[in-house]
Amino acid sequence: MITFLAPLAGLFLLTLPLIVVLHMRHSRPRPLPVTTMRFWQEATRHQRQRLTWRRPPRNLLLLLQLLVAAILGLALLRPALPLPSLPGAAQPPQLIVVLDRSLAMRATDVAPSRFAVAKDRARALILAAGADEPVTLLTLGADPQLQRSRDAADRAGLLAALDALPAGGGRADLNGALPVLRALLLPERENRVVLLSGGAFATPPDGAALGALAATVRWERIGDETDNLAITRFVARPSALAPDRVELFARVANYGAGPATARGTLDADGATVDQKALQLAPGGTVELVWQLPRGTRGARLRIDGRDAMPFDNEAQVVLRQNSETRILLVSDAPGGDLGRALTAQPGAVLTTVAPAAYLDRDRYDLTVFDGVVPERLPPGGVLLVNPPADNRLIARVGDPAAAGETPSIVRYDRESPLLAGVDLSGVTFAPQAAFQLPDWASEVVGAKGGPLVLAGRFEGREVVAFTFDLARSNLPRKLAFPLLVSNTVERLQTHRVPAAVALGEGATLEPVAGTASVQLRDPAGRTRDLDLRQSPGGAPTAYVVPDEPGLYTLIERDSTGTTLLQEGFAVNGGDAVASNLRGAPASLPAGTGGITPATATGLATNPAPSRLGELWPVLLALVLALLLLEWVVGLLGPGAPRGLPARVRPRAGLTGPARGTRGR
Amino acid sequence: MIFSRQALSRRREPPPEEPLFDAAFRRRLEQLAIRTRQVLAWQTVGEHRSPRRSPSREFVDFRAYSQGEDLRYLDWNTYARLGELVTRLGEISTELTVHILLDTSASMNWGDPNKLRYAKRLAAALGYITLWHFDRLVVAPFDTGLGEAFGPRQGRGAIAPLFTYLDGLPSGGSTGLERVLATYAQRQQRRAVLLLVSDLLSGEIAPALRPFLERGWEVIVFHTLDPQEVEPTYIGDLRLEDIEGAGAAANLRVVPDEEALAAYRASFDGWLGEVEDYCRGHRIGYLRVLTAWPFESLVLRFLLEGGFLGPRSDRGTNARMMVRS
Repeated sequence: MITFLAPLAGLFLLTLPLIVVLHMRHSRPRPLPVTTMRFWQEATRHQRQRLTWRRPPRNLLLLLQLLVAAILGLALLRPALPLPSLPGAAQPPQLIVVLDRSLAMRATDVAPSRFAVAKDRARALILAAGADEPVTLLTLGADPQLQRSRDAADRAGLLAALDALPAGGGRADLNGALPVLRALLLPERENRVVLLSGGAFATPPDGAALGALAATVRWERIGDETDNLAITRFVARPSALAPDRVELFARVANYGAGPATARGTLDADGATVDQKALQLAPGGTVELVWQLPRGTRGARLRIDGRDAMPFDNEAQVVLRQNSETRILLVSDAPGGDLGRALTAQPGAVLTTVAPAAYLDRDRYDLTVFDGVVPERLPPGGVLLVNPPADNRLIARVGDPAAAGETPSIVRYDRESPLLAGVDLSGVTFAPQAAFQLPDWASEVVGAKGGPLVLAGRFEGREVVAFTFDLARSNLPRKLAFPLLVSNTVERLQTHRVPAAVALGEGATLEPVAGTASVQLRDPAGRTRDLDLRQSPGGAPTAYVVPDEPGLYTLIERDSTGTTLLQEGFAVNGGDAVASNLRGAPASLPAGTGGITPATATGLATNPAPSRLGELWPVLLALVLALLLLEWVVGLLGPGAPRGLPARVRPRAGLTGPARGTRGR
Repeated sequence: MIFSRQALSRRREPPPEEPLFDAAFRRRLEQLAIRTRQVLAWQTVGEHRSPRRSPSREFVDFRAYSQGEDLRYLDWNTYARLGELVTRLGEISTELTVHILLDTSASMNWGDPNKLRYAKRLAAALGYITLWHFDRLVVAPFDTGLGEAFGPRQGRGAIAPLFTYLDGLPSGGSTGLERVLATYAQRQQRRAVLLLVSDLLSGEIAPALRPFLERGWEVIVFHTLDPQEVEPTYIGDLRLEDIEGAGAAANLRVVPDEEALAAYRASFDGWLGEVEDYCRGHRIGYLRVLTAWPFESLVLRFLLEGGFLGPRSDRGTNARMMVRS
């Protein structure tokens, strides 16, 4: 199949009609002396009326010029043939293995699991690839990964990366991976895509996009249609009916072809508190609700029976009490409205210091600067209140010494979590100089002159700023003030441990201030240290990917080994999409196949363009030969003798004195 | 054409002038003589065998004596044997006067090979034959008027001057065929042979030759043409320029398509037919000569086959006369 590497050059072919038009025009007649006009006058009488345009002449010169232009245009298009179709050349295709690492691949309907089988198949495919065939491994799931091997020299690294891949989680977002796939296609060669998946895709595959993929797509389905019961949701929330109780909500789904019965068992703090018999229609769900006393630390729901995904037959929930939040208020007026509002926050431990006594080595979860901004911000969240004019975070507009205007609220971001439940109507402010919205922040509440409340991320830490003086505003006397402070503390609280994490999905943990080491205890009781990574703002983070369901415990210690925090979180395997092992499509489009054109590539990291047999040198040689022929034809062309036509060949004389007339 | 043909053709050098004949061709010419149908010379001794018979030592035949004949030519031996008076007849030789009228107009100075050059060679060959056999030769060039003529000259000593003369003949303007030929015929006192070498493209042949026919001249027309005139092969957008013409009529814009070329050929063939029919009807020798033909081989062959020339031994077949011997 011919590939054109420069398709825009096809515009050159517009010269073809141009040449014909030029030949049709009688623009500049060539002078030719003749011996008499007496025969031409009569012979050209029919031409007098149509000497401006004429029919395209049928002569060799025009034909040759059209041929030259056509072949030159073709050469400019840079036609190329894949070298395998040329004698003596072989062009290896690229193999792209798309490996599904979603939660559904943990199913054990094929032994030992779908993911293990898919890995074995991927290994076989990689080993079968040609020595100079590039191989790319792309995974689907919660933690997509990309590994590439240019040829056999680095194939071992790819195989090692494949072997090291654990079972993943999340959903297989095939449609989301299509742009990456398109970018991976190597230009000017055949790309083979092999999808190793059970077919439990996050969304129905985009058949049109897959069909248009300039590659050969083959789906090797791992596993079959399988029945499965799953707990797809298990959450807790304070009961709306009884303040002293906690409400548990669970949803159990039957992803089977027939009705199912199961028994659900609920344990709370290690003791069984309820058992229910569940009747589930095919494809149906059952929703369960329990009321537990406040103070319950955790609960577990189990449904009996064995199926292909045993890990989604059990779910845990952690009923977390408010944890301690250490807040430092740097202010000359510690007993003011701000201090009282901060102290009123659940779990807050407020420490107040004067600006002069502030030491930047102090470690707090949240630091509030009232009327002052230090030279160096502390790690953790920062709330700036009434910042001075000479601070380095927010610049003032106009003369800092001027009194300024009285601001009034003219705009606010209703979607901002800072304003959740906050009613700012009737809030007044004292005259002040306006601030300019900095690049790192977005405006939450704004006045005509500039922002009044802004929030953003500065040097790796969350920062919220109230640009007005609380003491000269009526805001502290409004109901909105404690809500605004509460929302602000919630946003700026750096210590976040999720109550639940999905199986196989990663979670970023932000330890409490002063944490030097973090340990994770898995459901089996094994404890391992997590790497703490320093973020630009100085707040360390840890990343964890739980690879089995159950209750995990996070332990944070300071440099002396003192435990600062010990909290649990649940990891559950049920998912409304991944647990459905009967939702796979029957088939997938196979792509367009063939050689990928050059314009379909995108990644700068692609290997060097593969070898294609370009045909332009041959075409150029042909053009030169035709030009030579055209030159010769032109040289011998109009007016030149072309041998003796029959009418002018020698023949005997006509009439003579001796023999009389001999005829013509 | 992408490469300029004109630029290349400009560099083409004109071919050097070739000598009119080589020695071998001259030797072939020496064996030939011009043949005529009529008795055109009477009193002068030449190399032509005349149809006139007169007393001569070259016996040819007997004739019954008529009263008044010279008694010296009576054959007394026959009278002694048979008792009849007969007169001995012998053959006398005569000479011809050959006039070559050579068209040197601009239309003749055209073509490749050049028509005028070709015509000069033809005139040279005919003049060579004439002079070699001690006939009298006049060569007169013409275009709009008569040019300076060569001759009348006689004898082989005039051959070299003839060639020099022909080589130096210039090409002129347009052709005044009828007027020039009428003028020329009026100036001549005696009947002779007229060899007209022309392309006949300007003027009409009938009024041009009528004065000669009325005076009893033997006329032979050598119609000299270029192949491009007979069968043009032009293509493209052309502005034809009549090299003998002037003014607006001298230019014609033409695209020689198939239709135009066919019409040209039909018109040209019709004209050729008229010329040939006129010559045939008035016992005028006519030979069409195309410059593409090899001169030495073809033209002489056609001259021989057409009876315009004959072997030296056969010269004067049509001009034989009996004389008493």
